[in-house]
Amino acid sequence: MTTYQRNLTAPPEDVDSVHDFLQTIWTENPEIPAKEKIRIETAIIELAANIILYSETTAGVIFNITVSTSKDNLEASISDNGELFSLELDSHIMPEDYAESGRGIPMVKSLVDKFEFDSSDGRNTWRIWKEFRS
Amino acid sequence: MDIHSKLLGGGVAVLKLEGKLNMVSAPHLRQEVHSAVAAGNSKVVIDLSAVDFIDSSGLGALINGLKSTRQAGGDLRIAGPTEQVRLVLELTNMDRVLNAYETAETAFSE
Repeated sequence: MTTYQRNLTAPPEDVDSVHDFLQTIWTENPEIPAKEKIRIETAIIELAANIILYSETTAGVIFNITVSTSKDNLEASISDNGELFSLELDSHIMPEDYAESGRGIPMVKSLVDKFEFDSSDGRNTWRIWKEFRS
Repeated sequence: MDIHSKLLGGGVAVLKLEGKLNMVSAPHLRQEVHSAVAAGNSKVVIDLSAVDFIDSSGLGALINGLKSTRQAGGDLRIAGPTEQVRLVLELTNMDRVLNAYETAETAFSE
């Protein structure tokens, strides 16, 4: 199991910084199937965008991404120090066809094998798990 | 993300995107589609063949463009979606709303 960690502050950092962080992991772990990298990166970027977009802080949100990968799976957590909130993942369903927002969380649910949200000890934390399938 | 625009015959505007269509670049795309419609080109093709990543913000910009072109009597169609873009379109059921064509040139040719 190899673990990668990165702290980001947005602004000035944004989702492009998260893409750069993930690219480092993909480069160092070429055995991860390409289809799984696509799914994992799409999910993590959605969660990071969600944090940046809905951050209640005016001074910028500080968030941490931790990614642990083994030969069979990858797990990631993203946590921030923004205002705590409660969220029922089950209540987030795909919106109507012509909605311009609201697809992020439902999409993450369909991209990974396990998805959790927790708000406690001063932090909001999203966690995802993905098994590698050849 | 870079956006290159060109006009085909019949008042069709092609916007070729290069890079990642995410929350950073989505507002840029919205503006470009609105500019095309304001210039009288309400048939718009978004060429996605050089887009390696899209997120839900990018999808929102495409839907916004779809609505604004249709309100002006035109349409917005997408061309050349790459593997990640196709996955996102399928997972969100947007593949039934946004018609994907192989190339920008064929999107309005029928």
